[in-house]
Amino acid sequence: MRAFFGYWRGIASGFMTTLVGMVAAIRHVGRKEYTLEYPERRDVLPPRARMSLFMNPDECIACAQCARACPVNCITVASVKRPKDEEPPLTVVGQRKKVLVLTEYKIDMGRCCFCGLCVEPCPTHSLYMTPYFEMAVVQKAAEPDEILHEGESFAAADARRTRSEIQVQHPRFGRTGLVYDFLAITDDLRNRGEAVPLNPLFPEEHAQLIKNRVQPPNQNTTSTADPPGGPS
Amino acid sequence: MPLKTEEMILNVGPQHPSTHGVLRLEVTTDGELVTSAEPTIGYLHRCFEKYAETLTYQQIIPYTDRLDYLSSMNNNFGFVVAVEKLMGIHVCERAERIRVIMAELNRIASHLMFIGSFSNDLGAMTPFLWCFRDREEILKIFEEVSGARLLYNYYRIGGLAADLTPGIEEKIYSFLNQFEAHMLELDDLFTRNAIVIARLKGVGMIPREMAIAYGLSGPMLRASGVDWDCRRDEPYSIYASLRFEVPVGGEKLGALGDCYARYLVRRAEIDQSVSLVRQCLADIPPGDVKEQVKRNVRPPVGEVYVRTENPRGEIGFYLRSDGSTKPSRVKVRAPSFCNMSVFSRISKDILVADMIAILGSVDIVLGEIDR
Amino acid sequence: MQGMYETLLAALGAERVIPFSVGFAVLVVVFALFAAIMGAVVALIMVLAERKISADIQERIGPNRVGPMGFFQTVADAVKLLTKENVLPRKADSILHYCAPTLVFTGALLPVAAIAWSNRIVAADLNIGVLYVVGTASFGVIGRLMAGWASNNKWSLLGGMRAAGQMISYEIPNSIAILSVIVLAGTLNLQELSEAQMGGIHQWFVFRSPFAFVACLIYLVSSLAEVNRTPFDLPEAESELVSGYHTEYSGIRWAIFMMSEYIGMVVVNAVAVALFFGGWNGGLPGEPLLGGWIWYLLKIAVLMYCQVWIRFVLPRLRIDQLMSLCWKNLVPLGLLALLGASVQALMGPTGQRVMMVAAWLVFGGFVTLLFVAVRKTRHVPAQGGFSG
Repeated sequence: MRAFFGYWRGIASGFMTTLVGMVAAIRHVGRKEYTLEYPERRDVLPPRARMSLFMNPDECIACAQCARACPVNCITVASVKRPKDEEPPLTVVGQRKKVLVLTEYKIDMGRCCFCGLCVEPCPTHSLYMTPYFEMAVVQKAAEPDEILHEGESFAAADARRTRSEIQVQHPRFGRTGLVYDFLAITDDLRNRGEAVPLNPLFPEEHAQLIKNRVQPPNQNTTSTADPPGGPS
Repeated sequence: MPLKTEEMILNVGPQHPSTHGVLRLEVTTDGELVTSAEPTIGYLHRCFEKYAETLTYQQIIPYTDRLDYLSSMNNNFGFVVAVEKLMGIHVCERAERIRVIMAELNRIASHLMFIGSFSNDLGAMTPFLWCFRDREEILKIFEEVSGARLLYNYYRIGGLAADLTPGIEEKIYSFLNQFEAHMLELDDLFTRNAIVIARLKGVGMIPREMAIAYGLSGPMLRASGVDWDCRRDEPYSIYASLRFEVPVGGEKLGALGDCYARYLVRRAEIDQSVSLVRQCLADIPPGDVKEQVKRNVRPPVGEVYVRTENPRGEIGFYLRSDGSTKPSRVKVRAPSFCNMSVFSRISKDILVADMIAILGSVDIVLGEIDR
Repeated sequence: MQGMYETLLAALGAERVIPFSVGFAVLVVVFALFAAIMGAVVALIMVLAERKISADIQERIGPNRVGPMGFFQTVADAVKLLTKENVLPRKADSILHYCAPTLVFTGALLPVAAIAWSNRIVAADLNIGVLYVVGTASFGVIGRLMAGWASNNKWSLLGGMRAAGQMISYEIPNSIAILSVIVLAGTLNLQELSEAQMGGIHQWFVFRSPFAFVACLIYLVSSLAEVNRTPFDLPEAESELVSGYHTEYSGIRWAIFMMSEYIGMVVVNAVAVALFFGGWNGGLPGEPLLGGWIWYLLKIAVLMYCQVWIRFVLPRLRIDQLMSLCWKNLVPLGLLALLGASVQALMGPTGQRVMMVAAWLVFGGFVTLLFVAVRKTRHVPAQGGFSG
């Protein structure tokens, strides 16, 4: 007897399930879509967003804390001592004396894991993460001698290979290699008359640093074109 | 004369239609019936444990993100608690509360991902998109607080990387308010669907003794009726002072030991995590989360093993320190690794469609299986 | 069709010029080509409609880049498929591999000939119309089996066998549900079926008899299984592993499988409308507007929307559950409906009116259940912030 009722109950439950499910689904039809129509619309990233790194050499004291903190060893810092008779200038942030002269500052973006551990120890806020993430570019494939040879260890291949001088077009820094050479990048920006990107965590502080510069453009660019569906 | 039949060996290869990661299953089938399914792992092995011996303790934290990449906050939590126990650091209340908020939000996000990909495996494509919309809100919250959407690197030894941003609490509240209604809609569509119940009830039964014998943990263990949750039974951080229920398979839940029980346990855990986040948000004491943070960590000689509750189960961190800034041994006891060990045992004499459902219900992440 | 031809000739005034057989043959060929092109157009529209409807349910925007509202998306897909290489496995039986899509497409298109689109447009006004439709739809079974076998892929073979088993099994409740209406109508002719439902919405068979209502539900479910749509798409959307019987097909051959699925949907919906929902009649008594093809297409469109809608609501049934649903649930219910309809067919006019009232009661019950479902799924988001 119970089987008899169970049979009809099964049919009824199957029917109601379909009906309830269909009604639950159709309720969503009129709602506003959740899609963000990239690239016509972009989200404005929060200040802490960890995208590409930038280093302002004017403020750097070459302490190499960032290189020490990095878990993947992608930062190269080289400096020389300032000649003894020269008075070391002070940084704006932290009023630190620039005793060392920075000669090389490179970050290998191929290795960077965007963890942000390097930004924390910087005493002068000269290394910071900017909200620029559209760094992808179409380029030709790797050169044959950059690829691992048969039987070769990774360390040997690494030593053999020059860190590739592939040209990429950064949305803010201009043409650069996969290894960001920040001395060259900032020279480039200066020659083009563009301001360095602001530090999103300390925007007012950094605005003071930028003297006699062109007004920096918006960090997150939004185009004026509408997405295909029309203005939303 | 008996007919000659062949068993077919099918390779459910490292590339899956469903988002489980790079897992290879060698499935032997006799027509429709699966006779054996052997998983092969190792496609995502990145030598984390060996490499961690060359890193300082703070540098290991971004690497722990990448173990179970769907619940980075919980991995960070486990590691950081282990180091703090080794060093005897006491973390301030504010940092503990925020840690729990982030860990529970990440649990919600991970379980949403589970529901989405599980329903996709079963053929219902809509819950995937609905769950991802809610998960997107959580990821936006995380991006605002930590700076990244998936691999957060937010916890530090002794505290957090940064405090909450102003206004984030309202955002979390408004998300939670909307979210509960969305989960009820999902229940209408998926949880109480007769076809879902028919597909999942009785499939992949793991009895209680087998669950304990194979070292299962987390929702898989609880679905089989074992009432064990690291947050309640071996409390760490402030979990001892928080009120929450632990959903366990059985009469009250409505299912025991099968795929449906595992699904229901995770679904109920979402509700519990929402309540936990609300409790923690209700009063966060003022304080400085960066006060106790130690960057140059030099723990005393010794070893520690700490287990915390990951969305997938119990993640254990074993650390052995020789007094220097770098650990001499790091070992991770990954929950998905042990959960996966039972898979070949319960995949005997089932249909292929059932095998897919079971694989989905185990909810593995290859990042932590392979490390 | 002959009547149409004579009307056309009379209109053109060319009765004497063209010999009948030649003209008729040309007309038949034109009609067949027209049907095939309409099939392609239907597939074109349906692919986009499916993506847009699923996007609506899932709170997304569907395709919106190729053309306004994504209108030319399927054209882009079709161009891509046309230029794709058809990769044939080496040991596959190439003749069978070549013929299988053709058979499946034939099985999908042949039933179109008997369908009455309006009170004047019908290609072949067969007295056995419904029987012809059900019979020719079975071509698809042999085609899918062939596709599964010829791919030299055991998994495709299994998919093909499952599809064949599913389709053959579900033809039974399909036919039983159809029979339930046929005994009430007394004719297999699709044109006469629509004519029998003239005179207003209350004359539609679904509202004339509670057994026809039940038969309608059974027919809709089993027709979903006939065209391999979710929740019955295990043979093809074996997306868990491989694509079932059309794994080894690419390019235009795969497109033919897709087209025949959509055309099959149109055919079963057309039969459902003709049997249950009034055919080409509008809801009002009297001659329908323009002969009624607009109403017919509209009703088919509504049913197609419902089928796409169900696809994104329900998960897949496992093959044994699918079979047990057919044999243990649909067939007994169908037989009960057939029994009831047969009894009703023997009743006099008062009995018919009583049955009509009963049908309206059943329909009212259905609407009540709908309201219950609407109430159950209403969830209002919580308000307030700092609540504990």
